[in-house]
Amino acid sequence: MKKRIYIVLLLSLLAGMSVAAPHYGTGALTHWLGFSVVGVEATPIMGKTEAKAGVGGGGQVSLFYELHKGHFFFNAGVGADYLITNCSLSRYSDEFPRVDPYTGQNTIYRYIYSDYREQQTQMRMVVPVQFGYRFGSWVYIGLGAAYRTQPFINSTSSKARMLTEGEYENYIQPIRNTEAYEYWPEAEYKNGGKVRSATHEVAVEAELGARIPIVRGVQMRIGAYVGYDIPIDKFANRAAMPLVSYTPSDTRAIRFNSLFDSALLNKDVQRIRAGVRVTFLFNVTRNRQACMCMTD
Amino acid sequence: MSLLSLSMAAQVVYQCDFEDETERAQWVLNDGPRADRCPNWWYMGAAANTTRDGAYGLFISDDGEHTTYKGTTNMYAVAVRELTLPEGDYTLFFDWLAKGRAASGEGIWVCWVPDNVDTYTAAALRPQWVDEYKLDTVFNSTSIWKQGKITFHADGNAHKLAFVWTNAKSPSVVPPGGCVDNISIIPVEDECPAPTKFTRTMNGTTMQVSWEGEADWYDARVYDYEAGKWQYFDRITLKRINIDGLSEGMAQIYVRSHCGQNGVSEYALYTPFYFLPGRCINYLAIDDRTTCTCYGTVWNASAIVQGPFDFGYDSDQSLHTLHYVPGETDPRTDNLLKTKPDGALASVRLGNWKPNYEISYIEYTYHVPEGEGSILKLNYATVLQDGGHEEDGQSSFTLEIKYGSGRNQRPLPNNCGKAVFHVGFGDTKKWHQSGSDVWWQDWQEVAVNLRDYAGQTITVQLMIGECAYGGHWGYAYFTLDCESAELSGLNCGEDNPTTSFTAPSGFDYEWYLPSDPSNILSREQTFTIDPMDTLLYNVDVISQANDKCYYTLDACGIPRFPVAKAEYKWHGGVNCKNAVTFYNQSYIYYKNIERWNKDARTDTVYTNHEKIQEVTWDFGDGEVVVSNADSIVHVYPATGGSFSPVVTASISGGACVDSKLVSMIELPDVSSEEVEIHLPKGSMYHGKVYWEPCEFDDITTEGGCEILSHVYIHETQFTVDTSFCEGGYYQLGDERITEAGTYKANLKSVLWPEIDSIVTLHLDVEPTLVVTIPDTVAVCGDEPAIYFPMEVEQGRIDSVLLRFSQKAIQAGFDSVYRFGNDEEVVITKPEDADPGWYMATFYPGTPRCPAPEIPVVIQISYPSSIIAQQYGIIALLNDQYNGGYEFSSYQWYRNGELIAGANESYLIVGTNDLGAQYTAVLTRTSDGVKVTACPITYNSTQSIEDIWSDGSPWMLYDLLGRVVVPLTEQKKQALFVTPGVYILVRPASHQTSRIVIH
Repeated sequence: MKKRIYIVLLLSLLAGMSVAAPHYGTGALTHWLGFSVVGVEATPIMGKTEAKAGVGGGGQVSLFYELHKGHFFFNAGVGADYLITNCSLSRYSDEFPRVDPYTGQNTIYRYIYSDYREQQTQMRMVVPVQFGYRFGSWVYIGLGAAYRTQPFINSTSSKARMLTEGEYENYIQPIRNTEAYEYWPEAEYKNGGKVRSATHEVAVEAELGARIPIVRGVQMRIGAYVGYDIPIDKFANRAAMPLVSYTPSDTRAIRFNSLFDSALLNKDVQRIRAGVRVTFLFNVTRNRQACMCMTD
Repeated sequence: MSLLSLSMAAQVVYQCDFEDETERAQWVLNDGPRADRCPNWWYMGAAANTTRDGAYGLFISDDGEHTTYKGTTNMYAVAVRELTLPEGDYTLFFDWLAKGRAASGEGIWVCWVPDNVDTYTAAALRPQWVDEYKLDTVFNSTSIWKQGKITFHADGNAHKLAFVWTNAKSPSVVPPGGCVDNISIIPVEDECPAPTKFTRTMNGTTMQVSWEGEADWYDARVYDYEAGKWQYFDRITLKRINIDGLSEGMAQIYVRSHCGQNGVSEYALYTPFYFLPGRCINYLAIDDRTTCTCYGTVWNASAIVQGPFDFGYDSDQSLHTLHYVPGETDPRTDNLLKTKPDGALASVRLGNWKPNYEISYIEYTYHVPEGEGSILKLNYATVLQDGGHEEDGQSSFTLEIKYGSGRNQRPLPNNCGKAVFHVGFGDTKKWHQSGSDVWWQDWQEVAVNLRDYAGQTITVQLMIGECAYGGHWGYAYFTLDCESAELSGLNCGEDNPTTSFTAPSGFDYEWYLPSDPSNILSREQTFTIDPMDTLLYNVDVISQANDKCYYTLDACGIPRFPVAKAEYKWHGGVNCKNAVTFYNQSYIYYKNIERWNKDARTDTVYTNHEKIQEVTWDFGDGEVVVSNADSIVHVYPATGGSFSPVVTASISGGACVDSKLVSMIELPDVSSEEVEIHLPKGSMYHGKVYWEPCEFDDITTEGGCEILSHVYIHETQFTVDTSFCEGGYYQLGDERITEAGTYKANLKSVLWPEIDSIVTLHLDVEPTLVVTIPDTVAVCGDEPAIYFPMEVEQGRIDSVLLRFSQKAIQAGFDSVYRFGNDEEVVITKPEDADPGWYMATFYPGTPRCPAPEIPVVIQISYPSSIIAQQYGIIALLNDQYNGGYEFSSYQWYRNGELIAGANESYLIVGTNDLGAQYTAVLTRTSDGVKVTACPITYNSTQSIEDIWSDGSPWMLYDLLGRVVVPLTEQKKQALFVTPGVYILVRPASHQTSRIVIH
């Protein structure tokens, strides 16, 4: 709830500023076409779980239309976002009650996984908006937001080491490494699939950088960029699956699910991005004189 | 009944204990025309314990009712008894007590006065006839009873035995001035040497008194002042007695000799002593030169001479004296100061109230024990006259402790053993003033830590130094005691957590956490903690006299529990007494309880074997004793019997107790001893010479032990049949015989060397006993008994004794097992004995030729039932199923050979292992002991019926997933399949099993 309020406030602020800017700007209004390329490092926020986030990365390209008035600027556009993220889990186990096939004792059959590693690849459509202010001739600051669609490229791959054991009520240690009881020795298992819980996202972003005129009517902006990605719960397919799916009737038939889909997290995974955005701007104002008053 | 009337009547020519009315009437007291001018007279009675025993004795008093006394004039009082003794030499014995100063002639004079000499009492200087007929010098200068011995000659004419009391005009005497009792006169020829050189030693609460002497036997008397009772020991041939049951307080011992039929000595008096069995230091034994030496300047300020100088506790002449009267107060403190602290038996007073540059001091030697008693506590009260001088010139009281001996004696480092108290200085709040110049301190306590000197003998010196200018006096009362240097106030048990620690008293204190020693949490003697607190605290216990002297104690509130434990030793029935010494081995263990300590994952049990001192002994014969001694002697009935003594250890004032049966004790009947005495013809026995062979029984008593002697008077030639052990020898006269055979010897009697005897000796050799038994006897933990396969290869065995080690006894074994010669050596395995290794010693033997002891190790293995097996698996059961054992490591063996890497709690086995024996060496978590388990044989196979144990529907697949047998509930189904691996599936329980069909 709190998160939604922040998003609404931010979007309201952006809208308000974009409406107010022409009125408060001191120069003439100019029109620009822009193209930006973003390279980012992205880290999921796993929260208080035993899972650990890994460093991932990706990029974003977008086309947009931008208005300048005085020191203010505002743009909106459309683009594509490509992101690879990583996560891991050092140790995890699943278990189910089982009757020992030879003695009839009640036991606990347990899967023990270790060194679980997962990599997710996603590509989405993105609709960014940004409002900014230029300090003097060079330095600018921008505040933005973005909407990202559900990924149209959505894959995940994982691998882990696994063994199984049987815990008996009357024995000291669980029994391992005997195939007669299907207590499988430790081996590496791999799986692939998609993140079922991937959903629409909104993001808030901030950018700080420098504006560099290249030639008359063409500018470049280079800025450091941070963003915060927030999945929209309403559209999420929260399966709350186990990390590993198994069947007691065939203890070797296991399948890894995405850590993001698993009951281990049971929450939307937000992301922090940080990167560099390079933007090229082309002046498309009809009355070029209007821009002469700018002090480049 | 008086002391001397018991057995001297046959020898004495005169005796008087004043108990007989007729005899009392024979005495003439205080006769004379001007006797009424004398302030003090002789009286007969028992005022203020002026008699040794009974109701009457002679004593000096000014009113006859009390032991008051007036020293207002020169006088002498006479008590006379007319006697006519046959001509001869005699020894006069009498008990006496007399104050008075030797230099002024005060005291008791004993005279043997011709009947025609007037012996009037008068208020005058000592008369001429006293000096003319006195038998010895004056008796005085003691406040305790002594025995006088005077030899004199009687001419056969009537005489008067006179006891003359004299005192000067300004006497130093305090009442009772003089006392006389128990008079006896013995002819010199009937005397024999009295015992000498008495020594006493303590064994628990039993005191053994020994002496030297050459007599045939002795009589001993012990007087217990506190209880007012006598103990009698008659016809003792040993030169010692063991005294039990003495009360704490003063006691006195008398022993006399008997030589032949008539010879008898006087009672030799062992100096009265204070019996303080529970005290570490007998500070009241100021006359016992073995532990205490007193010094002082008396009458000559320039010379320090050895004392003690004790003229009674009321005398200003006394430098070393005892104060023991309950409720007595010091008159120079306006009677505000008690002369002994509450609870003390008596105090020692050092110094007096007579200024004369006097110095007096007492040195005690003290053997510092380990543990208990390593804090020396001095309770003192000082009364000092203020001279108004500078501090060093004032009268002072000093405590100083030194270690080492002789020239190597040194004060404790940093003067930690020294405390000096000058009148009016120091903590002025503790000084009180009485009159214009008397300053006094009420009872104070100062403690000195002697932990670093445990096991050493130190010297404790207490000194009173009067004012350096000679004009002001000083004295001090003191008591000494010891205390454990450890903390007290510790509670015990799970439900009674420790909430405070109390350090030894008499110190200053600083409590802190070891991690933050600069943050002092408390300076009180007692430190309070939260009941759940298991932190470790430190306390510095700091000397009040010198803050550089301190030691540090650990304090931790982890719950404690007592463990009762004891051993015993039978003394062998000596003196017809079934005396048994019990040794207290009770100790404390600690348990850090999980629920009390969030950091503790489990209950943690440990012990540092801190001994429990206070235990209750229920000896099993109806007598129960509470004792803090390391050992205690109990005398069971001489008739023997079976007893079950129980020791109960308690801590924290009995809040936690633990009881344990020490052992079932079987004691023999030792109420009498039976011996054979062979004497050659012509021997004298008990005063009679036997010239004809005969046989008779003689009964004597030694120390209450009745000895039945079968006396055989032989011809001068007699035969003896006997044997000795192989490898040994038989001593025949001067000859040492090492082989069997018949021997003859001409022997002389030890008692009567003039008589020869021809002895024919038939000597046999008993072969050495050879017994074999395995070094190690192994038994599984579930077996009820332990069998020791013993084989006698040579010799004769009468009995077997199996003695277990301390660890084994702790585990529940008895300390000793006894077996007859025809019994199998089998013992019941204690139910509580954990698997492990226990040491025992095997004593096979005969009374004459015992074989060497054989050490045996008893290995108790875990029962094989702690190992379970199922198809393909051999696994150890956990503590819920194996009797409660937890293990920290495992090593498996197959057919006795170590399996490399097999160090889990289970093994995976295969069909090739069928019939193999498996066992494991297991390390127990609780104590780290490694013990093997008894082996099991792997024999688990599987069958369809095994797999199909729950009877649910099943179906069979091949490895390609094809159905071989469709779903069925048939328990038995004929399969016509090719050998191979198949999968049996039970859908109801989601179970699959692999089946190999051969």
